[in-house]
Amino acid sequence: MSSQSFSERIAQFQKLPFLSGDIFARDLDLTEYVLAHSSSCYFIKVKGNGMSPLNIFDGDLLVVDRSLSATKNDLVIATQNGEFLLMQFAGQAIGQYSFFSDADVGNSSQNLAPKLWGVITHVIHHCR
Amino acid sequence: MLGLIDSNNFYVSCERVFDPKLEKRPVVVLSNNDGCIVARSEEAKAMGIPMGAPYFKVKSLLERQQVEVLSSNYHLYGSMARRVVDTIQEVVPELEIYSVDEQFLDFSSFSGQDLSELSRTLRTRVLRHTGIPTSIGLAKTKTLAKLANRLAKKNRVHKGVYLLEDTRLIRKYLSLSPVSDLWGIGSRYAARLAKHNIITALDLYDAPSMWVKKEMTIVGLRLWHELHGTPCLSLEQVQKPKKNICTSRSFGKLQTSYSALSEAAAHHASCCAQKLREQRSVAAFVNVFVQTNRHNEHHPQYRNSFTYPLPETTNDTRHIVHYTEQALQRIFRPNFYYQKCGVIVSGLTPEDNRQLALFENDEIVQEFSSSVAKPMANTPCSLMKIMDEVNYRFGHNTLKLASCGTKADWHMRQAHRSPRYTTHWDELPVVYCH
Repeated sequence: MSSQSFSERIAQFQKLPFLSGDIFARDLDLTEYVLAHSSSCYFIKVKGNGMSPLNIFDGDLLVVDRSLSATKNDLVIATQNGEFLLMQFAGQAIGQYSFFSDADVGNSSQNLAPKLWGVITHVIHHCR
Repeated sequence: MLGLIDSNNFYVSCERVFDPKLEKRPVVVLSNNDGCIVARSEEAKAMGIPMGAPYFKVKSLLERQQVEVLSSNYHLYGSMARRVVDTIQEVVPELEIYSVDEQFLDFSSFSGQDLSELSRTLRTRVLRHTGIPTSIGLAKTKTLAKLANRLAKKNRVHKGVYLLEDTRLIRKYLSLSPVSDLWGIGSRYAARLAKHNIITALDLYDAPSMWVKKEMTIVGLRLWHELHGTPCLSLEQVQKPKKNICTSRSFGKLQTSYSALSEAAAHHASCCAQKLREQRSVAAFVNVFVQTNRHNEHHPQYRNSFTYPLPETTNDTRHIVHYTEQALQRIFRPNFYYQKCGVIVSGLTPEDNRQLALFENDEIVQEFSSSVAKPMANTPCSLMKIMDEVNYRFGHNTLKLASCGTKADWHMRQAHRSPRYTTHWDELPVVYCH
């Protein structure tokens, strides 16, 4: 195997019908499945296990679609006091969003209301 | 009807999407090498921080006023610009990408619709999908759309959309704008107009067309027609290939060694070659230039450039890098503190009608077996194709020539760059869940 020189291997490689469309079929592409609307989808990384009751763990990768409207019980990314927050959407109060999250228990009164940033459509979790 | 959609304070807006802390705060973005201010938030503009100000001159002011200072993050801006264009195109497919943050829109296929309403929907959609606020000016011509855009942005009551159609209003706003504010009028041309007592844009509008044609050439006449609502500048939906390509960069810190300059030049040459392949052109000449910092009076000054005619026109990175080095060797002088170096490729022609040289050598294999990378202009190069494909998929500079170096000591100074949130896996935005 290693008797071939680098240049010989390159030469052989170039003789392959490289990317020749009529012989090979294209495999499934996971981005098609995950990114329904690529220009409005963003990736956000999770740090911390505070959302483990919702089955979201430290190191998970979130796919967030900003084009969607949030409906009740959706997991969403919101911003509040200059931070991103992961929340479960509690439903729409009249005219404004209201949220549920562990983070705003206790110190809600003087805080500005959270603003919706995007709706989480997928959670990508590494198993090992 | 045409429209001009423009992203407000684009670079600052991009930063704010991923860092909510920057909202409602004064923010500025610096140019390459943290040289001067290239973008300001509304809050920073209100503080009187001038556009283009050298950073070192305003640094203490910025600190005193607690202004957020960021280095430019071109990966982020490029990614967001693409998202903005894709989002617009879902609603208005016919558009011209005029610059990174401005697009001309063609509404001719929307006849009978309320375009102001459509534009407001478009604006909301872009804001929602990308987080980038925009302004839209609507008018019959590009020149008037540009003016309408400025009105949309300036006056809050318009809520980011302004339709300029009524002749009375057109005259009113033209009377308020100096002629130099018009699109395409530089300061020299404005000075020429001033000699003929044309000071405001309305003065040009009111001048007789025959006079304009006689005195102001075809450029002036075209502008005159544009102001009167007759389109003379069409939408350029396909970007024209460039006539020459320049890649240059100031060094993060001054460089004296040949090796640093040669790495930088090889890097710039690779960028030029890649851009050539992107637009399917080949180059006939490669020019290399170097210069010291002319603002530094304590160092001896030197600047020079050399143009190397390529034996065969090419867009192969290896050949362009090879001749770049040859050129650099001729102009490099030791004991100078170099501030900048750059590479320009010119004499561009389309790759498919390339002149073949008399002794073309397409035995690419030889190049690998020979220890010296001999320049062999040519072969529809599958290696370059693979290189571009790898770099497209796995990120810029994944595959590069060794002559570009690995340490990159000469790289840009970007002390305050934010993470490249949308283009690098290890720099994604983070949500903390405690």
